[in-house]
This record gives sequence, C-alpha cells and structure tokens, in this order.
Amino acid sequence: MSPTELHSFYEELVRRLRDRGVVCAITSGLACVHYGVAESTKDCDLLCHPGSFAELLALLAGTRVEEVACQYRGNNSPPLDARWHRGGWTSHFEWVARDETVTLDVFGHALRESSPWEQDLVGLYAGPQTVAEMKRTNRDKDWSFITALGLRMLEADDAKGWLHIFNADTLAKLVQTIPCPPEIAGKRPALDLALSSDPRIAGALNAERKFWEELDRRRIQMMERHLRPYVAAIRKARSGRQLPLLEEHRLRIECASKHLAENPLKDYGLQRYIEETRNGLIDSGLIPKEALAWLPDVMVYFEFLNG
Amino acid sequence: MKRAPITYRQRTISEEKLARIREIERAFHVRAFGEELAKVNLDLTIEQRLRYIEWMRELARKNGVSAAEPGDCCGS
Repeated sequence: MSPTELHSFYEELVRRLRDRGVVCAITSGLACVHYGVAESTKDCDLLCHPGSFAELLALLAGTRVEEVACQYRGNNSPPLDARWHRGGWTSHFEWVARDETVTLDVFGHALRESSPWEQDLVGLYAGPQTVAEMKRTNRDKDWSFITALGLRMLEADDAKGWLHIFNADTLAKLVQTIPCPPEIAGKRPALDLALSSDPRIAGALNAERKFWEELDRRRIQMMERHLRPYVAAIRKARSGRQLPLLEEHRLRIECASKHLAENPLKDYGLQRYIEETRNGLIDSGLIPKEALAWLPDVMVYFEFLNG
Repeated sequence: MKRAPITYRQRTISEEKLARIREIERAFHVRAFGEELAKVNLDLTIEQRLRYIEWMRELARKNGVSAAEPGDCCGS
C-alpha cells in the first residue's frame, strides 16, 4: 500500500469503529503527518477506549488486507484487554500482506497523558497535546516533532503549546512575540528562565529532555523485564502455530493472567520511579545537580496509571 | 493555510503576531528538518505531503534502505 492508501485504510478503520460507537483516534507519526510534520512512518498507532476493546477486536478479526487476516504481531504483544492497558501496556497487530506488512499498535491510554486523550480529539486524530506528550520518548528523532507540534498549538492560540517547545532559540523568539500565561509557566520551570532571558535556558531545556528520555528508558527496561516470562509462555503455548485472531487472543489472556503483571510501574511505585530517575541523572553526570531545580513535576503524566 | 486544523476554537491573536509565529515556525523547521522538508511540512497539502513521503520511501528502497522495524513492545 502507498502512504495515501495506508492513510485511507487507517482512517476508514477509525470511521467504522466510530460508527459502532467506539471512541478512538489515530495518533503518533500518522497524526504528525496529518498536522503538517512529515514523518516516514507507515505504522499506525491507534488510541481506543478500553471499554470498547471487544468491538475493536471483532472488527480486526473481520478486516482483511489483500485477503490476509489480522493477527497479533510476534510473541511479545500483550493482549488487547483493559486490565493490562490500564497499566500502560500496548497491543500489536499486523496483516502480513504479499508486498508489505501493515501494522497497527493499539493504546488504551496515551502514554504520558496529562489528561484523558478522549478529551483532546480533532477529527479522526488525537489532538496535538496528546500526540506531543506521547512523543516524549528516548528516541532522538521525536524531539523536533514535539517542538513542531508545540509551535502549531501556539499558532492556533493554544497556550499548552508552551509546554512542548524544546528548542532554546525558538523559545527565546516566542517569548518576545506572545505572552506566556502564568499558569502555564508555573508548570515548567524552564519557561521562567526563558521569560527572564536567563542564559541558562538551553541547559534547562537539555536537562528537561534528558529527564524525559531517562524516564522512558527506565520504563521500557522495567516493562521488558516483566514481559519476558509472558513471551516465553506464549512461545511455548503457540509452538509455532498461527492461530485465528480470536483464538490467539484467548491464549494471550490466559498466558497474561499467569505471567504478566498488569501495572508494573505502579507496583514499583510511581514516586520512587520518578525520584530514582532524577537521582540517576545526577549520579551518571547527565545533568549538573543545579539543573534539578529546572525539572518539571512529572507526576501528572503518570497519574493515569493510578486510575 | 494548507495544513489540517488542530483546534475547533476561534483564534484570538492578531494577524501580525500570527505572521511572526509562522516566521519562527519556518525558521525552526528549516533548522530541524532542512529546507526541503520545511516546505513539505509548511507549504504542501496533506495529499502532496503523502506523495512526497511515498517518493522518499521509494527512493530509500531503491537504494537498499530496509524498512524500519515497528515500535517496541512497550509503546515507546
């Protein structure tokens, strides 16, 4: 499929789900392309309300690409079930078509969502606030996309865009152009530095970015550790067979019930996870100790795990 | 403006300030993504942008660049 056909395929999937009353939206790379920041991804990330997973699964089971049925991707996808998605897990699907594999990653919660993603929809897509929060990863390439989305939000008069500007020059120019509301500046210490033309702003933005990257790296490490026994159980249970989607789903639920922690980060302790990440930045020399004062309070981005 | 809207709300900032934000935005895109992609991002319609991405992917394929692996197990 060409990018245009893929885009139409995913958009049609969302339309069909919405026709069935499902709250869902396209996010991540395809949303960036839609909002005017080109990314060459062809994978679709879909946000879907966990209460509607049964409808989504039924639709996927009945949707074919070039006569090929949908299946779970590999052995490491957790099941499409609210219990695990509440804990920040995601489910992965694919259609292995003749020319190209079409993939779909499903999120019940937007990772790092500071407010429910369902409240931030624009047409068939997740709003830029949700997309930008999801992109705070440990991948270099995501950070320019975040700033680009923040700029679009400010251009659309959405003050939350200030929370996503990670380029010092751009931030310096913006504070001279439009006012930053105090309630937004209060959420992000780096903005105070920018507003007072403090030369330490570049260092503060760098420290903030390193903090997010380290939070993501530690989260992935923890999730992967918890995933291992589940993957081994799936591999053993499947023993190389390719099962129909719904049968495979039941198998994954069975294995996950025995071998996959529902909410590893919450079990570990969110405050502990955040504190250890902050301290790790200092211990490893990634940021100087003074930079701790410039890091935002990030608990709000993980509170969905307490839900 | 050729890009998809990102809000349903009425904009209240002045045209002058909007023009300045767009200038800042263009400067950022040129710096972060390069001149060509800045044009793709800021001046093309969604259809044109998708065609450009298709061309980019095809060129990469012809030059032996393998497709990127899908995201990791933890939704990063």
